[in-house]
Amino acid sequence: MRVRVHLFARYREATGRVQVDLELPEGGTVETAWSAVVDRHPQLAQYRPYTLFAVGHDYVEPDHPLKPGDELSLFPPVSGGSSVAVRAEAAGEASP
Amino acid sequence: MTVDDDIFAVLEHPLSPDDIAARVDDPAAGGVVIFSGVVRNETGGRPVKFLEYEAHAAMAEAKLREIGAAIRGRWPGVKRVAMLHRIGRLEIGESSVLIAVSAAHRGDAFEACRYAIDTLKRIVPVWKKEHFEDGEVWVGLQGG
Repeated sequence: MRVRVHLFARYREATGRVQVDLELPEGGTVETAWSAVVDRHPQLAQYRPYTLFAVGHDYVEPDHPLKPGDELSLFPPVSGGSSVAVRAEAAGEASP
Repeated sequence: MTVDDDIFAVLEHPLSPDDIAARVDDPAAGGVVIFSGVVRNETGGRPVKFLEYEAHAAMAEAKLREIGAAIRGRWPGVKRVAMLHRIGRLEIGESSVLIAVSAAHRGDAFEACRYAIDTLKRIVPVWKKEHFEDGEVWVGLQGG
């Protein structure tokens, strides 16, 4: 299945790319896509613990299953490495 | 008025406090609170030359809208909400974020506006690159 990955800020500069198109096996997850991106751009590997992921307009966990045509965004680490807290909050904080 | 009448946008041009105040005008409002986030001339004592903002614009606008909906759920006295984030190059003193909330009473307007900027900082996908005399650094979600 084909998945498009969008890169922002530090990741865009580190790779020189705003997007990467991947061909992933059926059943692939966000983590599968991350590994495929790092295969092409190993300079991103160091940022894995701090990266936030989104599919469409929603934050997702690394084990989130991908569907054909999904648009996955990789968000760079925050200052101070507090992305775990951000991820925990991102799902529900703004719900009414 | 509902959240569908509110304004949430990521823009590449300068933001105007007068304009955003007009956007939340409502005859039933007794107070309007406006927050403007501006580019500071230093970070941790290090002089800043200018900033560059970058966003996942479509997702950012979706998250701003979620914040607006949450405000309407939590503060029924709120009449209108407008949230604008600027991207691109910004000079010292320019506004990167403008939030305006009108409400029947000032307490709701202050509380909702504070909630809006605090939540924006946590969940809206925007990054800024601080340009110093001797280097540059990216700051992201919750980092600035």
